[in-house]
This record gives sequence, C-alpha cells and structure tokens, in this order.
Amino acid sequence: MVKKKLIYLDNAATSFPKPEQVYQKMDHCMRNIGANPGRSGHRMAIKADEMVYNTRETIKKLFNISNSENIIFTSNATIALNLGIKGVLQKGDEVISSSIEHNSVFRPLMQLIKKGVRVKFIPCSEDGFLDPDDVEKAVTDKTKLIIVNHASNVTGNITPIKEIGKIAKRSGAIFFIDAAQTAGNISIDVKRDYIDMLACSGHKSLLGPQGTGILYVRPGIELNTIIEGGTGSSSESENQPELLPDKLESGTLNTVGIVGLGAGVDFILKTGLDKIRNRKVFLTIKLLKGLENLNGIKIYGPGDAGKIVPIVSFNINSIDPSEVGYLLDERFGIMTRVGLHCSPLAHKTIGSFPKGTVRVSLGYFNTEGDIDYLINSLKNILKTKA
Amino acid sequence: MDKELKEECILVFQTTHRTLQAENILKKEKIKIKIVLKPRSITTDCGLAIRFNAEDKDVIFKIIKNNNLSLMGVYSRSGEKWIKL
Ligand SMILES: Cc1ncc(COP(=O)(O)O)c(C=O)c1O
Repeated sequence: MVKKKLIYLDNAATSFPKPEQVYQKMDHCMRNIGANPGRSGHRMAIKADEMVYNTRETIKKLFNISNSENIIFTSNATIALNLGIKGVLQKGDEVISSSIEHNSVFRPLMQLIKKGVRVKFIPCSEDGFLDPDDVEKAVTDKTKLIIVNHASNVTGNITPIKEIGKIAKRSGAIFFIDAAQTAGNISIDVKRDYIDMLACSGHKSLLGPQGTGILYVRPGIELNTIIEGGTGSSSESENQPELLPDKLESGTLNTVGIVGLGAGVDFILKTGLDKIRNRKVFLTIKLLKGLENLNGIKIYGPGDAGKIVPIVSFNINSIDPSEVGYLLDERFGIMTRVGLHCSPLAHKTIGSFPKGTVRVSLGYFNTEGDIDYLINSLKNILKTKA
Repeated sequence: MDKELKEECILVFQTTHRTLQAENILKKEKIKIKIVLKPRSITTDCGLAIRFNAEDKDVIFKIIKNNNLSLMGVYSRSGEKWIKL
C-alpha cells in the first residue's frame, strides 16, 4: 500500500507545524527553568520572570504597543475576550457588534443581554463583510463598546478596523477587536488602527503553542476583574492589585507556553510580517484558482486573496460538507475543518447554516504541492460522487 | 553625600514587570545592578527589587525619570534595617 501523505490545512483552528525554535525554546524552558514566575525570587524564578517579560517585549513590537505591561497573558482568545467584554460592560450599557462574530464574542454578549446590557449586532453582507458605514449609523453617544471580528474564521474576510476605530474614537466608545484570525497574518498597529483593546490566540498565526492567548488593554482603560487571586505582588493587601499585568493575571502563568509564544512571534518578526503575508496571499490565490475550476463548487466570501486571511470556505454540489471532510481525511490524509466553526452567526450571514462548509486554512509552512494535492483529491471525490 | 547611601541601596517597584523593565533599561545604560528579593521589612510581597551602589544614585534617578518609570520607593540599608529615602 502506498503511504498516505498527511497534509494539515486547519491552521485557523490552530497552526501546525510550529517553527523549529518554538519546540526548542519550550523544551529548554521546561527542562531548565521550571520555576514559578512572580513568586519565589530564587534564581530560577527570576529567570522565569525574565522569560515572561521578554515575551511581552517581543509581542509589543508586533502590534506597536507602547508599554508591555498592558499585555496580559491568557490561556486562549476566548478567555481574553471574556476578560475584556465582561471587564468593560455593566447593566444598561450599549454595545455594537456584528453578525460575523465567533461564539467567543457572541455567547458572552448573549449572556450579558440577560443581565441588562443592550447589544446591536450589525448585519454583514453575504460574503461576510462588515461595512464601517453601518457601524457609523448604529453608533450613539451612549455606545460604550464596539467589538468586532477583525477577520472572519469562516470567510476570511478582513474588517476595515481603522475606519471603525475612527468612528469609535469620535463617539467615545471603547474599540475592541477580536484578532484571533489576524494576529500574525496581517499588520496590526494599535495606534494607527485606533485600537483600545485587542484579544487574540497565541496558538494560531502567532505560531505559539495551545494554551496561550493575549489581551491588550490601552493605558487609561480600567477593567473590572472577573477573576481574582494570587499575583505575587501586594500580597499583604486584601484587594486585587490595580496595576497591569498583575490585576488581570491571577494564578500561575503558563511559562512554557509563553516562552513558546515568544519564540513564535520572534520568528514572525525575524521573517518579516510582509514576507509571511505575501507568501500566504500567493498560496491563497493558487487555492482559489484551483477551487474555482471545480464543477459545482460554491466558494463563500469575497474570493479575493487580497481581501482575506488565508481561509476559504466552500461546498461542492450538494455533498454534505462533513462527508467531504471525512473523505479528504480518510482517503487522502488531508485535514480540514467542516461544519459551523463555532460561528453559527457567520454561517447564517453567508447562507450556509445549519450544514456549514468545508474550510481550508493555510499556514506559512504549506506548499504549492499541498494545494495541488488538495485540488486533485477534490476532483477525485467529485468523480466518485457523480 | 549623606552617610546612609554609602551602604547598599535598593529600588522598589510595584510589580515584577516594572522591576524587570527598570532592570533592562538600567543594564542597557551599563549601571551595575542586581535583582534581589524585596526585604521582608519593607513589604510582605513575594516580589523583587533592584540593588545598586549608592554612588550611582543620581544617574539612576535621571534614567528613571527620562524613561517615565514609576518608582515605589528607594531604601538604603542601615545595619539590619532598611530606611526609606
Ligand atoms: C474569530 C475567532 N475568535 C475567537 C476564537 C477563539 O480562539 P481560542 O480557541 O484561542 O479561544 C477563534 C478561534 O477558534 C476565532 O476564529
């Protein structure tokens, strides 16, 4: 029997593989610097402190953040989004969000609606685009928070955040972006883009390990805490410390994960975000071209590699997406993600609810050969299914 | 210079992050410093402090000011005690 190739095309869920230095740094850290940062003050603990500090300093460069103490480590984007959303909003507050949000934004907002927060979900176009003009029309001087998905994990469509950020600034609302799909994929500058708060995963395009996420909070924004506990600082006080990052980082940090995240972001900075973006656009063009030539294909989203992060959702004929996903994996060793991608709202918007789509998401380490192989495999499936 | 400062001194910041930030900046400026545990008589924190030589005091204060670092306190040792300056 011919040995099956294994091709990973699910980078929007989590990136794989990671750059070599991520594995090496984590291995080194776990073997040699296993102490608890911020706690004990012995030499190994200080070393751990320094490694966490260095990762913050590395991340700061990627997003043009002024002070790395405004970068909070979490275990994923979901926790970061919850800390941010629930830290800002109180009963009676008005929020603007969109119809392409991931459940990690949608569900916390739905929960807060039960507690008296008012949310306007702005409808997006059928290809999943949020028009800043529609945000402008919805905003009032009572709007406390505007939270939007920077790029849809279903269609890849990139939201023009700078335009929305300007609207937020003018109206006095806090501007919070869900950058889970964009951090490490396209340029984000918290100053240029008027970003007050940003949440993202560390384990997707930032190339860190699972169990890492980031919340950025602009100086001047005071969040309420939803988690309190040991921080290693001001231990004598009964109250949670007011200073960041301690205020929002109770409990032992994921030092090994954070070190891996630092190595991932360092890889991005050294390689150059432009180079990474160009490579992914190049591969996405090839992917779109290949898909467009298949019979009976429906591609969701704008179908323009320049307008999306490397995520493409599609359906073929009326074959159930889960069957396509199963056959790709079972027969050809190609790993995609099918279904609703934790975003029923987005699938309703693009008209693929409740069946969902087949989603292919590329990473920096995918090759042209991977895409040829995918397209040929899809042709094969079409032939046997016809 | 007052006598107290001939002895060793420490800088204390509110968070570990701010302590390491100051450490990095001072090291870049080639100031001789060392990360130590905050003395228990100053705070019950499990935090860190930066030890420095008294004669570098003025330069250090200037660097702290230029870099907008918010210092919590400076202490110098007098026998077993730490005195806030
Ligand atoms: C747009 C978007 N937001 C949030 C998340 C949640 O990320 P995490 O799994 O790191 O919590 C994801 C990833 O699944 C996503 O695609």
